Amino acid sequence: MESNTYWTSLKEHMPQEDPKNRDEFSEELPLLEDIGQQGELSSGRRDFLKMLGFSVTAATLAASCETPVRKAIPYVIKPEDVTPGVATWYATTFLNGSDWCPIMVKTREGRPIKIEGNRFSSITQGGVDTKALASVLGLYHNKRLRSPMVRRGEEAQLSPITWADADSAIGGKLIANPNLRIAILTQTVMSPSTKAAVARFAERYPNTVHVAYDPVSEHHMLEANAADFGRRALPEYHLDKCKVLVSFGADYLGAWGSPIQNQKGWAAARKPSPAQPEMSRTFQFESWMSRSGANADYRIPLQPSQVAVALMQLHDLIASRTGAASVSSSSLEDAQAGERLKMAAENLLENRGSSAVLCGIADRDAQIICNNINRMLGNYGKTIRWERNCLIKQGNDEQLASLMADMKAGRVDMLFMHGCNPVYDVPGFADALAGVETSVSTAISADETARLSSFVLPEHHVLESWGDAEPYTGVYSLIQPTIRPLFDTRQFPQSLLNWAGVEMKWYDFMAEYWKNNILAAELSAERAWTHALQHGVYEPNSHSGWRNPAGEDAAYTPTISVAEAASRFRQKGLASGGDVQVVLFENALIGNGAYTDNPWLQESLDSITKVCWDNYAMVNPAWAREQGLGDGDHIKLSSNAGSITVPVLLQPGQVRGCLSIAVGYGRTATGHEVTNNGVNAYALMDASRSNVFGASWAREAGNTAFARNQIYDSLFDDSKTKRPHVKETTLEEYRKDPMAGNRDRLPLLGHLNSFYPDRYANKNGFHWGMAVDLNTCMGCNACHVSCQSENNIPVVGKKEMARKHDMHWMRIDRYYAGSEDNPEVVFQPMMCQHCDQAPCENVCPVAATNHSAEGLNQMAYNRCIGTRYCANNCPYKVRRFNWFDYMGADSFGTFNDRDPLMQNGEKGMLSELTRMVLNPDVTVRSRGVMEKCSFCVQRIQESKLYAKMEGRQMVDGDVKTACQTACPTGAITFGNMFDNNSEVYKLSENNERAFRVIEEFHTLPSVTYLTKVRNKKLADHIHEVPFEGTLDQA
Amino acid sequence: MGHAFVSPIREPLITGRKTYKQITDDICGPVEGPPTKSWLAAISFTAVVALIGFATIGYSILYGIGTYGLDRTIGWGWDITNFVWWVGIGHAGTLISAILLLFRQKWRTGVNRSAEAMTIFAVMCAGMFPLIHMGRIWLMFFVFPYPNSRGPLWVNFNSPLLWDVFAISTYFTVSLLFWYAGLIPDLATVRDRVTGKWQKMLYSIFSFGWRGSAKEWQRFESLSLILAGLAAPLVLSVHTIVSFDFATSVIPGWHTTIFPPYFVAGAIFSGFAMVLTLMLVARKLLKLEDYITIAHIESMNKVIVLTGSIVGVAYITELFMAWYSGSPYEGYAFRNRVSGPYWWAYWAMMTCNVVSPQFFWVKALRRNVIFTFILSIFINIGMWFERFVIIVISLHRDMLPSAWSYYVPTWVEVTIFIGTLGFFMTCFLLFVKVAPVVAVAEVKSILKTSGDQYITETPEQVEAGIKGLAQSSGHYESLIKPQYDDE
Repeated sequence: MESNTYWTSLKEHMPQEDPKNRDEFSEELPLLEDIGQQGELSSGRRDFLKMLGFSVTAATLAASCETPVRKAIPYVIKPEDVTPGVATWYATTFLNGSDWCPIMVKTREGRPIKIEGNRFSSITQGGVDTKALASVLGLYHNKRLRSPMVRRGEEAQLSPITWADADSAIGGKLIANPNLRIAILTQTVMSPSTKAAVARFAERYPNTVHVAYDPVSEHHMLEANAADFGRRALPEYHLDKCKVLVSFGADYLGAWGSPIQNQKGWAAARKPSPAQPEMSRTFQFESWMSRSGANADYRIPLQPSQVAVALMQLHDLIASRTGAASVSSSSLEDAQAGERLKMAAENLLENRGSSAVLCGIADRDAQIICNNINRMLGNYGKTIRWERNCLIKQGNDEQLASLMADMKAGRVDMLFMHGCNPVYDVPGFADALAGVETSVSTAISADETARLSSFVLPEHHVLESWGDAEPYTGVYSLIQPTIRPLFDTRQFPQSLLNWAGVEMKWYDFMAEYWKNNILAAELSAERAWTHALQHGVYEPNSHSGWRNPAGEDAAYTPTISVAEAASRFRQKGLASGGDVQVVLFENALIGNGAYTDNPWLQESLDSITKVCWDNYAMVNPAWAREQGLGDGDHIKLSSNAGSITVPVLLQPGQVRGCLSIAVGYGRTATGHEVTNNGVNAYALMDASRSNVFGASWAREAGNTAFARNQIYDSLFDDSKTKRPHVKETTLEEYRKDPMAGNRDRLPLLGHLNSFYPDRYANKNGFHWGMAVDLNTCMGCNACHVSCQSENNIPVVGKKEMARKHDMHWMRIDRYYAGSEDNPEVVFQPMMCQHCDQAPCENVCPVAATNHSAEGLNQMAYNRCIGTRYCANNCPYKVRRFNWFDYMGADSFGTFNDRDPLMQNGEKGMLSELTRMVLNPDVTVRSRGVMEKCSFCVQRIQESKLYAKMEGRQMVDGDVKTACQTACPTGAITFGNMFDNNSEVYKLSENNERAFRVIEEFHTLPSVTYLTKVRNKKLADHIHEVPFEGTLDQA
Repeated sequence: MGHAFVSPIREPLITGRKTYKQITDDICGPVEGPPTKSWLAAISFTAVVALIGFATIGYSILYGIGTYGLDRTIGWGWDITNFVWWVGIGHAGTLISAILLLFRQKWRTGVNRSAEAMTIFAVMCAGMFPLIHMGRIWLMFFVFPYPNSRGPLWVNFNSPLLWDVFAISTYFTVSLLFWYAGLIPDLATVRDRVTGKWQKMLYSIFSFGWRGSAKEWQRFESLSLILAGLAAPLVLSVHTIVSFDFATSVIPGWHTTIFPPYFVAGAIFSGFAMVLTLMLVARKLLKLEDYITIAHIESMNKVIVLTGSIVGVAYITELFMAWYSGSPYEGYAFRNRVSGPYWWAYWAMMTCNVVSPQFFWVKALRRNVIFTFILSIFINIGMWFERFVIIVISLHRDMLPSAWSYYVPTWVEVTIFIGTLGFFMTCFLLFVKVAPVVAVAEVKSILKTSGDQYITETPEQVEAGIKGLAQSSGHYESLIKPQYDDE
């Protein structure tokens, strides 16, 4: 009789159901087939002897060949928290002046290698920008100062000094004369503890002034708010609550205000669904093609002076309907722009309390007018709130001017310049600096300011620092070190404490400040501190019911009447004088100049101009042709402050008679020739530091060849047939038909058949897929910088970029439609589509690129022989070939390394220090190898291993690709397409807006795009009109 | 029995009323004598060019394919253009030696040896490009399917590039065997004639002990037929497979079913052009006008006008299909060919390949040596442009306009190409110095079998020929009789 088998649990009964017991390699490794049946050794004694003989010989041969010695030093004692191969994440904050972003830092074996956004922050909600993402490369910048430096006498060169000597030299001067007239110049200081340290220093040395300025200033807006609300701060903009958004030159998706927060809010209001076919409508009145303008529903190009007129006219349009006093504006020169303005006014009036008017004009009176418009619309307290002050920009241009006057007059004895580079970004500062006896810079590398200072006391990199930030009142984030300081550097507040005679470590000072002030209300300050440190943010009141310390919303109590402001503004005019109007702007991608030495940012192609490694004066194409100017031709621009020679770039959408130049380039002391590129546009700014002014121009000899990787701007070909790679519709149509703009997909879907059996028919396991929402992609490049950081993508330099040897695994395609003067713009992130019928796979002679069982198109770098056939046959052109040894990874030695930062025989990107940024989970590719987006396969594998260790199934959201985590607007979704509950499945399979690029070629891509919906009237939608710009032939 | 009058239907395949000995003397003479100054000068020049080419290849291997003008959109440029061009050139040799042998075209014997040699050298040049264009040439053995310790990891049998590996290597092997088999009796002839010790020894080795026995001749004939039978399909298959590199892809302008016949016709077209270019020079320098006659040139020009017209029809068919298919990508690809940034390349191709061969409808031009030479150069250039047009113009603007690009070669690519020309010419010059440039044995076989009366040979020419012969041999009287007597 058979005995029953008793089982005690389901796991025991069906062990294969337990995920722990499941093999993560669903395909068998083919090794055993070759070895033969295990356990049955067929070899006998003779075979054994043969094998023995062979292995001894082989070992002898192998041992006698000399191989290069590489030192790997093992841990003698394993450090706590460091498990080789396992990443440790730290919550900290990226902070540099007004660039603030709570981040998570991934460290491997003690090295920070990757930055992502911190989801615990209610402000950025996990969003991150390019500057924060790339800061990890700055940590390993090989031109960082290794120790304090001093300038002896009139020497031009700085020489090293010890901290003790530096302290005694500076401290000696301080102690010798406690009444020394001291100034501390910084950018915006968001850190409350740094402010406390400054206060302690000022206590000891009462003649200390602290001046903060911002290279790209919001001084005028702050002054206007001070006049209207009694607060020298910015309000909090809730763009997610705005149904109508009208901006006058404020690049709210770019560098204006609190960018990530704005981007998040903007995106939240632009996600229509069939159930709720609603989205915001945005108007952008601007002179240059900004990121906000490129994404606006209605973009109205106007000269800067006309933008000002438009603002006043809007004021009157609103005022006339709300019964307020008019500012007697004149009307716009352009009739069509006038119509649009009326439409904007109508839309605003229909959405009182759920709209916002933003003003980017650097003029206090203009800001006062704008404040009044928002007040008339009842937006305060709803979309624009004063419950907590935004402290991201605090710079005061007037104080800067008076400080410079004092310096010139010799009224400053000692100047500390911390976290700023005024010699570069404040015209005339170098002259003023000459009047200061002792100047101290805390620059982390020998920048322009450091080179003119008496002492350079290098600061830690932010990833090595302790610190904190308060971007909004009551919202805090902490900075903690993620690595021990690489060099002999010291934080500036520590120096202040030392000199002030405070016998405290900066960390202790900061922790004590927190416990006594910020955490004072907590029951256990110690626990709260630990918790805050762990989470990187401390937002005690960020939940509902939060009120700022002052209690209530700020009341609108104008101290300057609107009429007065308007009449003054009108009188002043904007950008008067000269024959062109010039707008300087901060390119949010690369910042105000502090990050120009970062090759990742330099090489990131501006998503609108598609140029990298350069700045330029953007000009109206038709105007340029009339003047006989072509791309790259040099012109000399002279304002009343100075003049520069700058190449022009014919930019569709740029308004006639106006030139726009990005600041931040033209550095002279980044440490590398190649990053000292472009032109310093700050030189055109006069003492008012206004970014808009009149200038005169003249043709100069010379031409700059731009590194531009997209030369064709239109989706229309010569027969004016539009290629359906990007699908668009209007909200109007979308309301009627959720599949609007995407109907042409229907006949295709019925024809996506194959002779071959569907290898995914059973829909078991994983099939990785991605969905990209074209509606919320605004072209910020965060994805692409994040990808570069995650996947060890080489930097190739300007020359190589100009040869279209770009290595980026993902790019942002940008297309124009409509007129050259004011085109519609669309962005499309493009990366490997992981086609299930991949054209690249069947042409590789050695099967180096092949398909995984999980739908990934994978590359075996070791196997690749570099025929480039796969890249030729890729319809998306997303494969990237290692043309040279960009990573110093081939076996030929170093003579053929391509280091774009190589200088005087000294390595830049390939230096031992900079290579510390490499992700050990991703192979460094050698020359001659094809590479491309892997869907972050290392992250997929890591998540699988974690799920297996935890004994659970993978769930949606376990795997997030590098591009997805970086996207501030959530436009990228990744997941398992076989999971019907996954986000990506819902977006790509069950979505009327879903389409795939060139589906008709039956490549079966795994990347889905969602139709772009524009909230504009059908008649105004110009997408069916080809781009009329000239086609660049080369 | 007196000899019957045969109507003068064809021109003589060999002019000048040669005797067997004279043929041997004429053809083996340049091989046996010391190198001439002009030969030395020529080979020095071509060898230097070849060496510069190889040095440049070395440079590109040491530094990377980035030394080419290619980019992320255009993965193939001059490299694969040159590859296809050289492979195509090889085709004439195989066609002449294999297909014309099977069709019993006796005139082939005058040119087959050098055409085959040209095939081999051209395929050597061609074969270089798929290797040197690789990013990692040191791993080129990955393309061979052999049992290995990597899994074993096999090659991808779906890839046309792999088919190329087989096609080109087979082609090279068969061509080499065919050529060398034909050379053996002639090498033996040289062996028997040379006097130098080293020469004698080397020719003994390379003639494999050929004695010229009847059995050997019988086996020689069988081998020739077998190899011809093997090589004949290769004429069609090799370039068909090369065309699959493009035809099986998805790129508009590449993805075309017309490619196999179009490529084969183009290959023969370009091959004959190259044969003419070489032969017209060689016959002059080596004084082989009697063996490579105007009739040969005319025959080859007829092949050129035929294949050139086939190619022309193919070009026009492509344009028609691009329009007729209704595919916007296909349509654009061809409009872009005709009028895009590379319009000059397309029209260079059209002029050289389609328009210029049409002159050969005129008999006088077909038989004009200078004109034929110039035109053969035109066709060589045109066929190079054809491959450039197909490869680069199709790639530079494909599906996504964002990736569109423009390609200009660097000095590296140009130098490598010129280097292969130098290598090719060096090989050819070596060949004419060490081996009989016309198949001596085969030419002798056609000396008497055709009719006695030829349409263009005037009595004066006959007389002159006999006189010339008599002067060289000193047996004027004895020559006349046997030559005209076939009792």
